[in-house]
Amino acid sequence: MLTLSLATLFTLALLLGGGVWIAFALLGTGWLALTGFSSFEVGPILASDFWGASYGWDLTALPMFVWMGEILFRSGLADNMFRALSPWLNRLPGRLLHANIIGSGLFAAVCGSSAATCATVGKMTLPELERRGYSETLALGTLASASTLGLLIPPSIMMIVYGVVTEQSISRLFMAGIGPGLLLLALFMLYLVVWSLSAGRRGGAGHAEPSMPLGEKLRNSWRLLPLLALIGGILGSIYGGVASPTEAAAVGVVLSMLIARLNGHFDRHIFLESMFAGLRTSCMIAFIIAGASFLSSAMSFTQLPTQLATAIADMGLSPNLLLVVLTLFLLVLGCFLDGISLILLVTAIIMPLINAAGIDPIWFGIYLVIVVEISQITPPVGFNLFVIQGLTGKNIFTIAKATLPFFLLMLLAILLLRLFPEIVLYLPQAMNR
Amino acid sequence: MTFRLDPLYRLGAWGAAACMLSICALVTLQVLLRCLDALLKAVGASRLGLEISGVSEIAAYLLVGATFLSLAYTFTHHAHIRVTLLIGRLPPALRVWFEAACLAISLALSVLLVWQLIGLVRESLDYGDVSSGLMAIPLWIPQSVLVSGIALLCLALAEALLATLRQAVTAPSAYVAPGDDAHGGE
Amino acid sequence: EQWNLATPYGDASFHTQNTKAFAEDVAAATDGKLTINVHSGGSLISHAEIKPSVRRGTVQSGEVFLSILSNESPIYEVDTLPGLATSYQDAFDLWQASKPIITELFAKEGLMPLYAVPWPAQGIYTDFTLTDASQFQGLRVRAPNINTQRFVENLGGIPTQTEEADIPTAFSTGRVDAMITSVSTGNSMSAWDYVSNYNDAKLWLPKNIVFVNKRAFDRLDADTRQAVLDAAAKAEQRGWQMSKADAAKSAKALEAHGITISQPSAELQQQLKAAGQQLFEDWQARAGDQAKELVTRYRERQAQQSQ
Ligand code: NA
Ligand code: NA
Repeated sequence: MLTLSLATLFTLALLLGGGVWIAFALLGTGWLALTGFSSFEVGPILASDFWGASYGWDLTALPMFVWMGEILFRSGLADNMFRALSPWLNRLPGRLLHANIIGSGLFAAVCGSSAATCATVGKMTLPELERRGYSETLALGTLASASTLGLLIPPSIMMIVYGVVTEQSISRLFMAGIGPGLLLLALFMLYLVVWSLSAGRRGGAGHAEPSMPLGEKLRNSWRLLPLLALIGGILGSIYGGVASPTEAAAVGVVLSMLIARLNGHFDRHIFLESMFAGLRTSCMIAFIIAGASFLSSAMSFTQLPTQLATAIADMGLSPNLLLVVLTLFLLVLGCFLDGISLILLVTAIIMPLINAAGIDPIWFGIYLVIVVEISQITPPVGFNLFVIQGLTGKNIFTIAKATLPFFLLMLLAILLLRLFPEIVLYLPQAMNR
Repeated sequence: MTFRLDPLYRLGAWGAAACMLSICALVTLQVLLRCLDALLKAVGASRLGLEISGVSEIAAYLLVGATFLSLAYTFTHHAHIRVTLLIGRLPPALRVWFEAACLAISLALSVLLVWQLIGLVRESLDYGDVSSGLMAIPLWIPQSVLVSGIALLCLALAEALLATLRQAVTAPSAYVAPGDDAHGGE
Repeated sequence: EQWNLATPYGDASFHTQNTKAFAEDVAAATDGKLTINVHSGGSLISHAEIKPSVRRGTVQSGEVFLSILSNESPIYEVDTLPGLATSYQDAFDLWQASKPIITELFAKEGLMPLYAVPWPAQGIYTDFTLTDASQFQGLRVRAPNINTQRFVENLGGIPTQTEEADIPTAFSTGRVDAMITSVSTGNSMSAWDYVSNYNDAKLWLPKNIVFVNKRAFDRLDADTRQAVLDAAAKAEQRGWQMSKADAAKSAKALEAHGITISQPSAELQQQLKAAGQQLFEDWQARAGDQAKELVTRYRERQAQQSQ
């Protein structure tokens, strides 16, 4: 068990550090783990797993949302949004960096995946923030972490996976995610305010833009309208009953084209440019998803994660200690496995323990989603880091360093949820009445 | 670096674009029909009940083309990401060998993948495998698309490997890693 | 020897509990000479890839919902034909009658069925009281497979495709008005969150099937093979009991959460039967001689039962 863990770690580190493309590093590690530590024939597993990860209906939302981000990026909407927001946020320490967090929160309500949230919001905000002289570290950190809320604020792919395998009500899980989602948003914004205040003249918190009278502020705010119309349109299509959350992604593409057209920033050239840029990003992400899926399934075949999880199950821990150990275990595993594999692994082995410990399964679902969120921003396998590297060309370790404070805030959020479970359970319980 | 087969990779990208547009169009049509139904119901008429059956099934398999046909195109635009933190600090003469090794590993894995996936296609043909939904799509079709995408990537990797090796032998210290200056490949 | 068994259903499902018990029985009977690791919830392989993976030998054993194979042969549709078998006894006779043909079909792909376990009978979930088939007019009904789609069309409804995970949102936003599934599934999906009525129409009892790769099975020694077959026979028996028990338990849970369970009126039953009969005739035409043989065998068994 130890040899296998070390060999896997070492191979992955070697391949990634040596500059092998991430998808190939994952494929190669999975291949070595299977040939070295199992008696299975690797080829067929590779083929069927890669194939299995390459198609799927809910996955179609990802390229659509990525494409939408590329359209918005080219439509001048981001600039509009910042110009409309800046007079309002002028007094708030952190200024436009809050747009990253609020934007992610809003977009999270539209989209069920964190990679798509990250790609869409980042495509719009990062260049503008850089242009306006904001701290790069904070811009990257807020984006990477706030966009993980795509998983916590409904709709959410991860909650659906958890709900289906543990037979928990998906609508209740969705309701349960709202409180913790807002809590995380508040924590992130609070951190931003504190950082900016303490940074003082160190800079990086943006420049004060000339203050304007209320009337002008309001007049300026109409520029937000297109973006609000877009989000409203997507949400409306979901909750108005004309589109499923997956279909809403295509609605988003069409609406963003319309809005960009009305905004005067859309022609054949932009259409093609946005589409091919979208293709490149979604291809990059999809290839990594397939690689990560093969590595995860290779690990399942070697039984390593199962043995580790069983070892935890056999420790006979108290509920609180169980959660602590489980969190540590998942954080380590989350460095290597993708979110869905994490959830499936835990639910298959740890769930009886959770039930026995009297932990509410809805609460545990939210806890798991937050842990999965964290795994999206921990290197080497962290999808939000990959997406941001794709957007900015910054190294994933630089990006990971920028997200460190937010990583800690998410751990704090877990602690708060344990102390005040009502944050999770109030809304779903209110559904009973 | 120039790729001699670049037109081929672009063709792949256009194929991917066609798939992506089809997904978008199909889903949009479906949503528009539902809007129409909602309108009809609102004015008191009965629903038309037009549903394009199998949208989700078709889109699920179109996704294979939309994402994987552009593998090579994405590669030539340096949009596949990697960690260059360490190898970026190497002197060109050493870096070029590292690059060659990375390309060789990637090529080996791609060839393996293509080989195994061809086996998968052959099996699907032998057993006449079809998707389990209403459309009964023969699986060899999307599987062959996947194979084509990865085969294109093999070609691109092979081209890059050859060029890198040539450089390594002839003028290693003049090596400039592709994609280091730009990212995302505009 | 270690085997892997992949199942799409989660640990909370009685099917998975039964399959895990089967694995334990095998391990006990062979003194651990053959152990079977059950990978539940699609954690190793997704539903659609399970049969090809077993065929290829990637995993030695798998469990699938039998009627997802409907596109391969009409024979696999037999347990989703409305009205053909509507009780556990009928469903068992139907399984016995179709087993030889299914075994033959599986053998062509190098597979061997071990046992099959039914889901409880399928009924209709709505957010109104269903009294008459005319209420289906213009109703959006979730139709996960071809036969349900045709059935809904025959009743005048609009069959819609909804992914399982999308059901709660689809109901609460009006993209779907009704669904056809069992009390067990309704219970596990917390159907009371979005529907209020369940009509216990007992339309059909679909099955899960557990099967092995024949080569992997033949590699075992004779004793181990026998142990697997014995455990499978036991699992089948236990599974049918568990299904019945789960139906009763789930119905109670549904009622406890405020869902009204009603029996179809004689008139509604007649209308549902007519819609099903049409489907059955179409199926017989499509399925040909094999199907006729199967049905004859089934009717003979039924006749014997009623004597
Ligand atoms: Na979301
Ligand atoms: Na990670």
